[in-house]
Amino acid sequence: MRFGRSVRGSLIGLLALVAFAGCGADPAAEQPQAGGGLEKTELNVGIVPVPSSAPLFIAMEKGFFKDEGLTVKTQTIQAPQQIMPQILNGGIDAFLTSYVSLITISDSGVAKLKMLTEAQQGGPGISGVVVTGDSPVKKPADLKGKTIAVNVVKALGEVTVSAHLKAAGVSPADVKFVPVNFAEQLAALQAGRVDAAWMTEPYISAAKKDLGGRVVIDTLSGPTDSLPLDGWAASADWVTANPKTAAAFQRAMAKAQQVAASDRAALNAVIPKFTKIPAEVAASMGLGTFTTSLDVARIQKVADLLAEFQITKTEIDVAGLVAAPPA
Amino acid sequence: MILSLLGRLGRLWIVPVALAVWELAAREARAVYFPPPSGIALHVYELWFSGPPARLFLTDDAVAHILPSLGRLLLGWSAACLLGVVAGVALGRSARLSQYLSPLIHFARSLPPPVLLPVFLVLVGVGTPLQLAGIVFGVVWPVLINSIDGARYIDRQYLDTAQVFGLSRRERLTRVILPAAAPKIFAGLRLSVALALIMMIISELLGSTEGVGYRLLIAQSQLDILTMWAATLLLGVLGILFNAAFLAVERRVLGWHRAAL
Repeated sequence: MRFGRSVRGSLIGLLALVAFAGCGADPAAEQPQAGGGLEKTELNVGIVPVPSSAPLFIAMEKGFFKDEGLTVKTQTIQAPQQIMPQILNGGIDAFLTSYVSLITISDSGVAKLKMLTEAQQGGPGISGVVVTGDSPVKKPADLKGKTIAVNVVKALGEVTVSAHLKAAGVSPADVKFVPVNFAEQLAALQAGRVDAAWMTEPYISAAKKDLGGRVVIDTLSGPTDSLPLDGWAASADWVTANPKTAAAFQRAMAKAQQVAASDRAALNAVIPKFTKIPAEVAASMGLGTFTTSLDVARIQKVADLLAEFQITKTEIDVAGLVAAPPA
Repeated sequence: MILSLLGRLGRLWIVPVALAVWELAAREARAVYFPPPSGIALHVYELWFSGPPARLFLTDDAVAHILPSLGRLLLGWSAACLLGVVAGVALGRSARLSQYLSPLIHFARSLPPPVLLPVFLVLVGVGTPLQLAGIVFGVVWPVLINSIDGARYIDRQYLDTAQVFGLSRRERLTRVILPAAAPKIFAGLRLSVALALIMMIISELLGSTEGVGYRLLIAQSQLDILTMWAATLLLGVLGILFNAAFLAVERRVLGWHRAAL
């Protein structure tokens, strides 16, 4: 009797699941609309509260989207992996994604995405492996056998650190990567619970200030210098269904990237508005380069690194992941 | 006996039917997030149970992730149960102790364990100590509260009788208090089994280097939907197995109680 009841209970759950499966993701079913020839004029854009999203806010403030006939609403996301159903059913039109996520998602075969506009390209001083001031770790080779905190496993942190370790003659298999959120890394470092932490700005500045932290590896320099980091993407189906809208979005963003690339003051002003980064930190923190073009050869480097360190199962050709520039 | 067994099996017809409906619906919908159950089952087999016979068919991935998780689950659960029962009986029998500590207990048990994991990380470090701390903290409360209640409300007549027969303190504990509190204690233990499984996963989402929860993190990062479902399926099956094993033990230990009802 007891068993029967529990089976019935679990079946209700199972049926609920099946019902869910029925209303799963359908490829973006956008209705073409009149309005300046655009298929769509209102866009829901997924943003991540990090400096890379700044050009989108610049474009909104300066009316670049309005000039193209677009109205942009934003939705805060963490990473595209978490909102794939919404991307696939058209709930989100475009979104900020790292190249690592873009390539990993492509490798998983779950969805086809296309990068519309690049946001930032890496450079020295914006991400690195940090240790406390009194740590015995003085150079990359000293990290052998150590525990390194990363915010997300199997992502940018692991890949770039692995590339630098390899260059220093240490096998990436000889270090342990453990997931610890950026916000909790400082405390873990200070208590000696991890030997080192891979972090980005503005956490590096905070680690230097609060812990006397040292950067042992500047992870976007040397073998990984000027690696492209992230950009604005949409699903391949969406780009096919909305070619004019995609081009309008790209044109507006290109103008904003230009502003971001040439006017640091504009970035400093906009970053505190959508992130938790205070104005004085925003003004002094290290930033990457805001780019104005999509360079396939440069992006391929990311895919090659991901394949080399077995984060992706296959070697991805990134040419298929980049949308054509606007006419 | 045979009839009841047949009756029980008869009621199970709904399981294959539900599986078939799920399979058909998933194939029909072709939704990437909902692979058909046959695909999930095949993936579970390939990922974890297609190893050499000498290792009970476990693959490297299973040995690297499932076994450490299960080890920590059993260790953490046992520690939490021991702690909960011992402290619970002591608190239940001592009004003064209970007065001092109950505000603290009710404060601590209201704290969501996932929020405390970063604190444990700083206190005990990454890896197994962190996961054990998470499991023990997440699991101990129902055992503790039920043990307190069970030990506190014992029929006055039992205790009076024990006194008349001149039982020693120790005999009174093992022959009167513990058996009388046992049904409540077991109710708490049973709740804690399911909680332990949940905490096993949650505690591995932070500061871990192996385990089913860590495997789930990687699968999420790589958008490996089959592995995400495989882990979900594994947890469900483990839940059923642990519950069945627990009920079997309970039936044996509490047989007298059931017969008395």
